Amino acid sequence: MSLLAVEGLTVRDQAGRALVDDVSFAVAAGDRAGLIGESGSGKSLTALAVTGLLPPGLSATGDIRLDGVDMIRAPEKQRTAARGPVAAIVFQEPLTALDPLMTAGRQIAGPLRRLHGLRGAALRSAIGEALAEVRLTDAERIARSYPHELSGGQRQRVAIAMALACRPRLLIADEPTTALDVTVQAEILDLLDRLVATRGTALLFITHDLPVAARVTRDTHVLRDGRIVESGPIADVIARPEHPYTRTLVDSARRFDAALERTGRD
Amino acid sequence: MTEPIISADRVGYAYRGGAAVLTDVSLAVPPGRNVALVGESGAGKTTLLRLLLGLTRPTEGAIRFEGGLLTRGRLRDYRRAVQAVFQDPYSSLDPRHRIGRIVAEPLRGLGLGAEPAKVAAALEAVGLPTDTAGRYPHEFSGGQRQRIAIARAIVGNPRLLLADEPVSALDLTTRVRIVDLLGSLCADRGLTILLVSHDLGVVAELCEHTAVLEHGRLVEQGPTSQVLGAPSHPYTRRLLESVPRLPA
Amino acid sequence: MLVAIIAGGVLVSYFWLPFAPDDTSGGRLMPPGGDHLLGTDKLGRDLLTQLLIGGRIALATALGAVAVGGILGVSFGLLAGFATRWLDDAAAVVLDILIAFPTLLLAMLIVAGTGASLGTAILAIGLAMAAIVARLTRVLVKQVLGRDYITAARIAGISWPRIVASHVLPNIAPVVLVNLALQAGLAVLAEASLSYLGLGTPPPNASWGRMLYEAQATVLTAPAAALAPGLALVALVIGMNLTADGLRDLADPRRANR
Repeated sequence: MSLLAVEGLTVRDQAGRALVDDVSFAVAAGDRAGLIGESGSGKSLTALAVTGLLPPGLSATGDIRLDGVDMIRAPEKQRTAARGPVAAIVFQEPLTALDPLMTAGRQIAGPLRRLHGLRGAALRSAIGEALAEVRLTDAERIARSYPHELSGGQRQRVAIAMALACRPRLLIADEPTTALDVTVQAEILDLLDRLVATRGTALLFITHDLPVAARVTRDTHVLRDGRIVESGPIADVIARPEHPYTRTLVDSARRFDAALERTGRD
Repeated sequence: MTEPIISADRVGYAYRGGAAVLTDVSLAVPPGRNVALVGESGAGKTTLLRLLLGLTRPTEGAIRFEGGLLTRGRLRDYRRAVQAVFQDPYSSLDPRHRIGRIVAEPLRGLGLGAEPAKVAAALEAVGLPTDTAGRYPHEFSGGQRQRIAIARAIVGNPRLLLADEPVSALDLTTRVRIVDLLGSLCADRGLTILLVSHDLGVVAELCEHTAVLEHGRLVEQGPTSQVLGAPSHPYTRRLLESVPRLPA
Repeated sequence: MLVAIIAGGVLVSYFWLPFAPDDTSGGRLMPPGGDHLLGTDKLGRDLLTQLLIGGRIALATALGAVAVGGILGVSFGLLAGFATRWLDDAAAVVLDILIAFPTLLLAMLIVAGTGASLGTAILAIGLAMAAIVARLTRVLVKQVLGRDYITAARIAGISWPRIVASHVLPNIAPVVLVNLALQAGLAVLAEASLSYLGLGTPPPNASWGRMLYEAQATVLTAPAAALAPGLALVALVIGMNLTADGLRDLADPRRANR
């Protein structure tokens, strides 16, 4: 059975307009799936629907099973219970995901205490481990720092450490590197890549950036105007795009790649 | 050799009582040769751009315009020749003004005669319908807003366009279209571009000359084919390796 | 709408009053009905007449305080918004201290210095309002100045005074106007409180605050004398708050276009 199974998901706004329209996909344990789409494609709404975090005013129909829990119809309590240990989410701007009034260490401590019942020395060492795992050197100083005292890359590492602290079986990453510099982006992508590989965590990676998706995902679903227009292994989709929109996406990315390649040859 | 349109001559900048943001930066933009300024956040790109726009004075060195020092008295001529486009198309258009008024602003401010025909021509040049002029910014998407911002920049026929990350806030497919637009403006109107960007693909596509800025210093500059094709500085190499690319 | 009704009533009062303000011929504490629509107070004055005259004062306070607070507040806020770092920090501290001072206390101090009159009450309330408006304006100006369209305007050769007129003021106006409308409601309440304490409009001019004070002893036997000014006060303040909401909607080009 899939860890996450989405069937005919439709998200409507108050006017009844479908922002996500009949979207179906599945992520099996240990899988790496990508949702690729540009602004307005509905990719972020899909992620929010999957975690049961849709903003008020939007309603979802269809079927979402997260580890067997019905994320559309199950009571709030059950859905919350499914979120922590099963699926964790990392957002584009870590500043909005982190509590500005709490040190990084305490933020990571929250889920560890709640879900694993860790206290005292065991909790402290678990926090240290979590920070070391996201390759934050100087973990002690960082644990004592507030979010605004950290750089964008450090914040995103803390957010990832928080998301992974409870060993979820699925990590949902919504444009986690879009706000970062290229060199930092490369580091974070490496980190995500390595962490999901060593732990066997499944990954649902959401991005507008095809080359970034190619870097970390295996299966891909291309979204446009709320609908999936093409699905398949990402290597095949890039090599042989079938839908005209996917072709435009691939061509656009290739344009800049080719320009860079040319500089190497001159 | 042709006189550069603008040049930075051993420019340095430091906040009062603070550390230096820019140190010993020399850069020239000759007509017809697009220059890229590459670097990451905190490298001093934005500060250098503000100096080049005449919004802030350098604390060391000088900015030159067509060979002479950029003084207060030459500012109007300078602004007629040098215009700018910014990164965030949602912040660069006043939400309370109609597009026609936004695009005409440089004409009014620089005493160039704000005829509606000029505004219409600028909108047409960036591929927007003429009825755009009567509408408000919120009616447009990010890519369309960036076109409007470009129309405002070129409405007075400047020689040089300073473009500060003009496509990094845009979707990939929109990015291609805006880069194409900038390229065609250079070809058709004899416009030169100084592009500030961290996107090396865009740089390679648009610019003949590339300068790499790290921690307020230029670590490498030269023809783009050389800087990006055979980088000599380790930071440039790291930037190049970090660019995500599609598998071949 | 509520504001319009009250303003209309006040306007009428300049041309026509049911009775002369000092006419005490009607007998004391009459219940509503008959000649005296709302009854009379303990001196036998017609309540409706008093209410209308009180309305004049309430509106005069609102308008006067908003004028004082708006003009002083926006000017000072603009200056602080444009000021260099340390000057701006100093301005922020001064404003915070002024705001921490309760409006009533400030008003009482000023009134104590100059004697109670409608003018001093309006001035005092207006000054207190100015501090709040200035702080708001300062923050808004800073926000707008950080926008790229301001930089674009500078590059387009637009002078600072014209940038303020065409970009800064229009963009801060909606929030400031809404805030002023809310403040107008508070000003009316503040004036009523001052009058209630005997620090506002001196007698014989009726103010809603003093009417409440005078009616308080007889509130059980003649409730109309307390209810009428009380309800008028509530209606005017609610009306001003609704006006604030309306202004907000009107000022938004996104809504205006639909």
